[in-house]
Amino acid sequence: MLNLDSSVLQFVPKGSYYNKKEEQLEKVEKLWENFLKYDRLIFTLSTLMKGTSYSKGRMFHLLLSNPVKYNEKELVPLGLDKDFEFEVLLFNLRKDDMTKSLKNLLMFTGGKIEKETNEKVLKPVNNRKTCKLILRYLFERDDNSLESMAISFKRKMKTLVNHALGKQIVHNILNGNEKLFNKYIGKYNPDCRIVIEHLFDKDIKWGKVSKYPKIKEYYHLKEIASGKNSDKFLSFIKTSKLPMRTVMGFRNTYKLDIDLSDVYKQSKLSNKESIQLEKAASRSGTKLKVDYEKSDLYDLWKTFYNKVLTNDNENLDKITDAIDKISQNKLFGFGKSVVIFDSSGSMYGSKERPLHPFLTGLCVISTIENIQRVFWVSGLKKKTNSENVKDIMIPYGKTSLWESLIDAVKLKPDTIIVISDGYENSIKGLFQTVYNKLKTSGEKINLVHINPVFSSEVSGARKLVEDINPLVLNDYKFLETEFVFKCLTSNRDEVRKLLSSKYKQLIN
Amino acid sequence: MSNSIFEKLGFNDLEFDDIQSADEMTIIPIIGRDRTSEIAKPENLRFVRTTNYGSMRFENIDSDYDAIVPSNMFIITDQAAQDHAMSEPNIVKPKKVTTFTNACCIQSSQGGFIKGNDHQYDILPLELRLHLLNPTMRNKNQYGKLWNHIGRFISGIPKVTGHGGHLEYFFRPYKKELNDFIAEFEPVRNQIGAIILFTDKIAGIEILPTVTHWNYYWTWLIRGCYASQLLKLKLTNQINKCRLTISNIPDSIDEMKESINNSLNSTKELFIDKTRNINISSLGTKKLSNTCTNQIIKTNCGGGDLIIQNNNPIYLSMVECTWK
Repeated sequence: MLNLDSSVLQFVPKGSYYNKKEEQLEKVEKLWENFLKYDRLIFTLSTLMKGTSYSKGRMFHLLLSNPVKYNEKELVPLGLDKDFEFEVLLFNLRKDDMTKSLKNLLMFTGGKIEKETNEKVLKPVNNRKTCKLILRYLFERDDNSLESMAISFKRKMKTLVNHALGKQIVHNILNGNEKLFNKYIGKYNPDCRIVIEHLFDKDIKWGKVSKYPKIKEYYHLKEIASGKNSDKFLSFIKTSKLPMRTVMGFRNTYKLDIDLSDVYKQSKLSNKESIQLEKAASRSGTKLKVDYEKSDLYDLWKTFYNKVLTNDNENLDKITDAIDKISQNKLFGFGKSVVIFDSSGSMYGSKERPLHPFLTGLCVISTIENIQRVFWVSGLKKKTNSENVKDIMIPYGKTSLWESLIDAVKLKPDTIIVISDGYENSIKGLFQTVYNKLKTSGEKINLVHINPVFSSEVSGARKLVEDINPLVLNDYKFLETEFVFKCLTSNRDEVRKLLSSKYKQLIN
Repeated sequence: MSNSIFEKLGFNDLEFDDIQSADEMTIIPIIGRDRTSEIAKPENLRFVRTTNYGSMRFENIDSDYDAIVPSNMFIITDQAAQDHAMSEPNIVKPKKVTTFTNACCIQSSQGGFIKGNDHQYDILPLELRLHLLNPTMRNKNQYGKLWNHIGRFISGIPKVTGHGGHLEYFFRPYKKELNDFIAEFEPVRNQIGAIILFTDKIAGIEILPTVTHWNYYWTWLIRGCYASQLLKLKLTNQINKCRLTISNIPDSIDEMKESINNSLNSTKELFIDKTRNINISSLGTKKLSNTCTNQIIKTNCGGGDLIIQNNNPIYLSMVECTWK
């Protein structure tokens, strides 16, 4: 029987408190392969649901390295055409963050997956579909977006174009072969020759009016930086539209004597970059303006915890106000609910991704409606200087979930939601014993176990109760995905219909 | 706690947290104040290198206090070098480098000296520690002194393909299983030590000088000393597979919590009570620094090391072979 849960769509190779990322990866790779063998159509369409870019990238790699021809008889009743697989891949790439999509495309080139480990090298994939996917993703976009990509991700784009076309075709295009240019690139964007020349460091012949002013600025700034003119550099970035990473790159490469704070002040940052760089900018003496209310709930909780743990009191109330506002938009409901929240030491997560399981749990309870009470199991309280949230809980100590189960049942809720990694030690198995005893004593218990930790030894998530499969959540937004996976084996045809209808809604 | 081993050894102000138990291993956390403020933090102690076969060099950096080298710590390295273990606990004086020449090689047919600090550290398996309680054995400057014992320790364990004095033949293939043991337990607030049991029998008592030391070294102890021993016993069918359970839970939800807590507390008291039956005698004392001495203690079926600083016991690491 297929043993599968939504962790196949949520995997990120970051390790956990217990398992190293290599151990996890080995297990997940088997799950992906089994899933593909089980039902290729569902495998493909499942990527339309929420999932991590990494998981989707690896799934695309599997699809394109194992091409098949579908039987149209299978597709027609579901309203799918023969190119649906390609469209799903392209849709996902376009929907995702540009950095992540490029990383996923680079997997086709056979590069190393993880720089740090240097262990895993994927098989290169270079067929007609892969080539088309890369070129359509890169060039079938508006000029502004293409220009931004060419500036921020020059090397990645160059690698991908080389992979898709081969060095000979690239050489011929760069030497003026219009026929080849139009065949492969021009059909998506007829005026983008300058971009190609930029990627491959060819001398660009600027016309009177350029469609790519930022690329022009890029070369101008490069010239100033290589001349070591710091004053001119600073004055230029004040008016230029170049992104922060490019400006920072030139400053560092040419070792310009410019304060980091000046780069942060003058450069263009997205809201996501602002919240990510807030701490680094503050160390250099610059305050970045962050619109917290436009930030993701997880990023907000993470920033709030980081600030409290490093005694940075700036904007604490602004962050909690934003959390409060975003949390008013509830995503899920289980009726009148009581939460048992495991705050024991292991919920701290791995060194590579500290606090991740705990913060994921916090996001889950922020988006579930009608929570009557939260029972915290273990943990250390730390006072904050926020008016709204007086103290925070930090994961620490033993895991004794059974006591809270008794307390929760006494409140007679519709649902008891347990957020836990499933590692119970005080004592192991006692939660199950108490659960069984309460059931046989006539208590009605509707238990939902949400587990934010993928455990390699069970190829999924650890259970607390034998007959309740946990909902594995790497990201609070994946609750819908998890429910679909729950029906995967019990109601395969329904899942096919459901996902096909999602395809039509999103892509057609 | 009267007449308990803790009182006999001078640890008068300890308390015990709730039992943590997973499968055949049970841990009772020992909580209390830091035993001393005049001891270097674990991070101040650095392993430098093996200078010869049987010689391990350490450095105590950035501290004004003595640094403790834990009893029977060992290194399995990825370098082309011979794995080594300390024969006993020791002290490195502030800002000094000290070489201990009575260390043991734990990888017989491998040459080369270990360099640098970045290795996998653990404490020797319980059974091997018992051999190093013998003062003659631990003081002997003969690096191959543990090879025969290691050979016997690893023999009969599935997946161990080689034989002889190679501890890594066991630790490498079972790395994941050993790490899983650590994952089952979590340190609690103000924890400085633990009583460790295999099923219902005491396997060891560990007390470290401070909470910081416990948080730093507990994984070395659990994985290297106790989990490895328990795993070996399980793999060679020398211990009954069982799990601590609570029975006779009342039907009434209002009585359930109190009843279970009473059962857990009684079990804890029963286990702590077992420490009263441990008789201790001294096998000798060794001066480690101006303020610290180590007393080798012998018990009914094991023993260990007790470090006393200015008449104040600050470190206890003792193991018991009660499963036989």
